[in-house]
Amino acid sequence: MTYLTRQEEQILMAVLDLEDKAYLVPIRKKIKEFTGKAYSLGTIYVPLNRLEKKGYLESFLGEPTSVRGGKAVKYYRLTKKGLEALEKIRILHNRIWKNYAVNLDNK
Amino acid sequence: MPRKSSSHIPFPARWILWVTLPEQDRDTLYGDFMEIYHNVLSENGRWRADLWLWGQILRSIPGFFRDSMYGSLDMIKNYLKTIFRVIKRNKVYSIITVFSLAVGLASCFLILLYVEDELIYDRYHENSSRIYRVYEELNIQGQRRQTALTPAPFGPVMKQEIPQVKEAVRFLPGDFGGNKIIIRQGENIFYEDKWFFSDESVFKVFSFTLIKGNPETALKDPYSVTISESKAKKIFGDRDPIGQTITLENQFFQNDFLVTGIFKDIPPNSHFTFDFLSSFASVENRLGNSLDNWFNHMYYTYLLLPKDTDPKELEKNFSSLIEKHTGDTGASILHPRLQPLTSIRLHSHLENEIEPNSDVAYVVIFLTIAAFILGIAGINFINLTTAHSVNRAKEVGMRKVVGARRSQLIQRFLGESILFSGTALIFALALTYWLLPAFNALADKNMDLSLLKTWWLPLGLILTAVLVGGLSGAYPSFYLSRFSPTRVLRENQNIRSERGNLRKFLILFQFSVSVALIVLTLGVREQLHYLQTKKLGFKKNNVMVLPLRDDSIKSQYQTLKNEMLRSNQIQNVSASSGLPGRITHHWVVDTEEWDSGIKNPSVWVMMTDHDFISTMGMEIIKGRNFSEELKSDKKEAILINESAQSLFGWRKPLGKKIKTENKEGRVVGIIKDFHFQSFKKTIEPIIIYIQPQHFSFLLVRVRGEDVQTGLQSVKQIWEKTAPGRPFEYFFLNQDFDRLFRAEQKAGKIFGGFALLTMLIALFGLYGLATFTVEQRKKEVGIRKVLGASVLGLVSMLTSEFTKIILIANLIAWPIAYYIIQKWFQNFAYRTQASFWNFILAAGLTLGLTLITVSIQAFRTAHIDPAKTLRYE
Repeated sequence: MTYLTRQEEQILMAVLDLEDKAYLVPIRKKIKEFTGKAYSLGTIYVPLNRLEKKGYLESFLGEPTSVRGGKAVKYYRLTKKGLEALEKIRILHNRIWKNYAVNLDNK
Repeated sequence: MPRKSSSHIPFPARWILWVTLPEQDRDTLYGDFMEIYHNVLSENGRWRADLWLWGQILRSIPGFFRDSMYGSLDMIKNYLKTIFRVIKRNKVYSIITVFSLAVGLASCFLILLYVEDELIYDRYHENSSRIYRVYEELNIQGQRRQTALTPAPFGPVMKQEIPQVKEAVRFLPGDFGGNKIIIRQGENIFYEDKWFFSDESVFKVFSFTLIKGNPETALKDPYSVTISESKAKKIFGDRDPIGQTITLENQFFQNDFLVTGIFKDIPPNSHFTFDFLSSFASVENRLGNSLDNWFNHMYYTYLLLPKDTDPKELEKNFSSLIEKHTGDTGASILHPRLQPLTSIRLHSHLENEIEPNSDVAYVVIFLTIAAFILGIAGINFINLTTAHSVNRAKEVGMRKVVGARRSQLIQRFLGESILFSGTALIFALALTYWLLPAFNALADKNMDLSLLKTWWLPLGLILTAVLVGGLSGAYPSFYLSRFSPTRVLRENQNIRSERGNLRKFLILFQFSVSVALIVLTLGVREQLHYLQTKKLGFKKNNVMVLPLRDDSIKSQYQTLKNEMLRSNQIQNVSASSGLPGRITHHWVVDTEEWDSGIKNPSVWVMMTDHDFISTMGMEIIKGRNFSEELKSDKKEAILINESAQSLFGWRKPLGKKIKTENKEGRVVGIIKDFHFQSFKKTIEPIIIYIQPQHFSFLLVRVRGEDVQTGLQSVKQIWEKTAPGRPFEYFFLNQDFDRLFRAEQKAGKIFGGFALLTMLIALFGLYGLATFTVEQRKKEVGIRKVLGASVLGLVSMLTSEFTKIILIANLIAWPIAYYIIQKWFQNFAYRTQASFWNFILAAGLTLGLTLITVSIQAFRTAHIDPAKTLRYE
């Protein structure tokens, strides 16, 4: 099984972080917090949608509000597969970064 | 908080979002955009919010697009593959579709080039929008004339006394009415005709560029001249012309002119062109006092006005100006008017135009034809594609079954038609390039593809092609994508084309246009034939005309005449100041007795010798011809035409006195009216008398049997009598036919495009017939088994089309009749639209249709029924 890309990882983490309030607008904001970069909505949506298609995320519709011009909110939530993928990538990170501090000292 | 309504995303952005957002999450995504937009709006105001929005849109779209392509790239590959398969499998269909569209587009391009060429006339002048020409509305005893000529004082006085007039330029043609002029340089003699005198401000007003010489001073001194680049090369070769002299010889001048400048050749898109521009000071020097004459119309006057001047307002100053300088008489006769420089080419139809103009009507007519041709080519496209749909239905059904969305199918068929029209565009450009020389010859123009250098024309062409492809592809693609898979995939179920009626209607339209154009072409030809063969009141054939260019050759006229009359190939010889089609003297005349109310009428004047009437083969209906025996005739005999008699209102015209600028005489005879002007006007009054000083042409009537031998002997006599002078001649009939040259040209172009529309329509019909007949193969097979004859089958298969063609004829006839009648009304002398034109058009369309359809019908009817009826 393949690993998540960095972008996918960031998005899944954002969704995880936001708990039950995860939809496109706050996800974008969260990623801005993580990375300091303001991506466009489209740039976030495309991988988000792909993650949903791959089954890492599932979505449900919320209530429409007037601020949103009467359009509903599409909330995202991690599936079991998504959580597993995150866990896998965390383990991978740990494994890769394990000796980082030592290397720095040796320099 | 902003008001709720104002927080909506503004229109174009909203629309763009709606179109580009991925279909599956369109609503929620739109909501997301709205939410942030709303937040930015309430915090930072509308400007920032809009800025944010557009930034978002621009950055988001590529992502969305790539995402949507992600899955469909394979699809596109597949589409291309199937499109090429379609082309390969249906070669006839593809070739007809592309070719008829290419021909349609090419003729459209040619017409657009023509129209652009007409529209850019005189626009190369930097001041083109500020230059106006003064023309004159003369009111002489209730007779109104509009002439482009003005008197000499107009320009300078207007500039002096009306503050808005920044500059005024006068032009005086150096040929004084159609005669060529002689230019000598050293030993060489050149015959030229494009010499003008003009005020020194000409380079300030017009954008004629001097390559050499100083525009400020080039035309300041008397007897200075500037020459066009090409003529300078012709006269001086590689020598530097500046500082050299050339000698001008014409009616008024016999002077050396100093070359002070070389200008770039005048662009052909000018309402008049010239090769020599000389200083007006030369005219002042030579003509002196006559320049103060307010009634002598010889000059063309152009004014430079400030930006946004209303010419109508300015015209109001003119009458008081005229009154001040000429008193009441002048004010009642002279009415100057202004016309914009840029409107002259297409809108000005005055007397004495410098060069004949075109007409905006032609531009409109050609654009209409272009639209029709495109329409017809587009219809072919629609008809062929929908007819073809029978074969395509299965493909559509199959694609739907495996999950193609309708929008995808529409994309696929639109893509196919745009691919077709793109291919057609390339062919069309090649065709345009290839046909341009022929079209130039036809239209008497000198266009090249450099017109494409303007940014809008190539863009227009590409847009036209894509639009035609898109529009004609739109209907078939929506139509095809609607098929329900369950219906089209059911076995043995041939879907009958439901839109047969629309197809018939479109063919009806195509052939109505074709028939109308054919009838119109035939009508134009008929009128031209009528004009060419009309009894003119003189015999135009077999008359050679030899221009008499200067005084020394004029003095030899009697010798030339005597020599020529000795030859037995030559019947008559005469000389005159003008010719039918080339009469330039229009003078106010005076008589002592008036039977009609008109005082001082103006008439045309022709000055000839004794033998003019017999040489021209004119007819005297009352009184007598000039007579050599009566010595007094040379001094005082005058002939007038019927129209002049009725203008003067004389019951007994013989012996009445007439006085002109250079003659005081009595009427001795009445000439039967003869045509000497455009056929658009009724024959005007003309008087003829003897006056050798004004001879411009030597007229030689050659015996009819052998024109070539006659020509040879005239040439020999000329070379013997006037050695060293080039022998120049033209035939009167050809020269006279210039009068309807514009109509001839339009008629030819018209005919060409009529043929083209017919051709494209027939192409379409052929393609369509192929499919219709194909569809009825089984029916034909069964009928044949039951004993139908081949001929019977063919007539059954063709009857559907012949009916349409007949109805098309019935629709086109009244429309064509109406238009041709309108056109005929341009002419004072016209023929009747012949009934046979309509029959001929009907016969032609019907015949060609029958041939086209029968080819297919025969082929099908001959197929062995066993083949068509066999089950797979």
